[in-house]
Amino acid sequence: MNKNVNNVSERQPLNNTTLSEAQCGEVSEKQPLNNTILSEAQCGDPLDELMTAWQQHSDRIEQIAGQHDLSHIKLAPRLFVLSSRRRRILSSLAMALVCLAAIVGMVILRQHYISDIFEQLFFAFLALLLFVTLIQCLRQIFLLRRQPFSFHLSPITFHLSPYSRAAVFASIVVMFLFLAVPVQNGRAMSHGSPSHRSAALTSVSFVLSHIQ
Amino acid sequence: MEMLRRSGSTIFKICLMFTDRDPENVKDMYQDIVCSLWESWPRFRGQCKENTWVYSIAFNTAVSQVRHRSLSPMFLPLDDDTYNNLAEESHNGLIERLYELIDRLSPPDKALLLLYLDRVPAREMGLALGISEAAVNHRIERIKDKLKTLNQNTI
Repeated sequence: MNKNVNNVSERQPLNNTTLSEAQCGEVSEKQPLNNTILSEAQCGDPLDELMTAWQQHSDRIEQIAGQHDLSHIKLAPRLFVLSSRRRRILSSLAMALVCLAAIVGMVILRQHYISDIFEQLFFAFLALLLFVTLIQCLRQIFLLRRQPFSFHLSPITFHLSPYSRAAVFASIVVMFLFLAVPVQNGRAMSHGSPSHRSAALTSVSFVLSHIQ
Repeated sequence: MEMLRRSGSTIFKICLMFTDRDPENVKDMYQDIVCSLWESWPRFRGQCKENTWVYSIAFNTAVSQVRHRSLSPMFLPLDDDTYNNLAEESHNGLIERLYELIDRLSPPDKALLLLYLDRVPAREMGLALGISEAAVNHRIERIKDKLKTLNQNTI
């Protein structure tokens, strides 16, 4: 049975603590009790009994761990393993680049369509998304550089549920349609007549249904 | 591999504490923690004790529920025999009661409680969790009070 040397060597005498063992006359050999606070009123406290039972539970888990066979474990070469944080950095960077490319494309193509509220909304949305992804990317880089054994719960996470992601994607598609789908008079959807818009939507639906 | 052997009991305890003891959840947690340790091992420079480092990485993984198994070509199963032994041990009367109380704590409180139950020195606790020693002592007392209240309410 393998002993967990680190656990045994790190266990310290319990100083200035309230202990059930001392209170009820049971002293563990591993932890000599120094300067303990003893309270007769706490003898037999159910919570202390649970904590005492944990010690036996922990010893039993150590025995189980010693019997656990690790010989069948296959560990991949570390070169091919990307940490999750690095993957998040890469995905944030990719998303930021896509937003940037879309913004640059819109600026370049502005001369070919009439700028309206939909185009401005779409532009604002892309700019906001670019800003958020860059912040996320910087945050992940900062967390990666931080001392590896630090333990911090992230207080703010930008995490969209699948339904939210679908709603965002649908919004982008609708805005793009109003911006870019051409109509007969060469103007964007927002300036087309109702009949022109319905004809354009019909043809787009036809294309989308074939894509699916 | 030797590090995994030495840390086996610590990993098992964290798997039991941070899951509902369901077989699949325990196995998933075990694999995630070992994956995280394997990936982070090259960055360990002895800044703290190895066990403290293992606690820190394992707690981070347990709390954040990192799922990167699909992109990490590893095979790290927790065999059924080992899980059955752990499950049998965790269903001991008093221990089952303790796990029921622990399930009601927040993840940071669970992490601190496990370190306290394992008799880790306060300084190492602070190092593992990124808080001061004074904060460790204060939070431990608060957790004990909370557990006492929960225990009395459910009796």
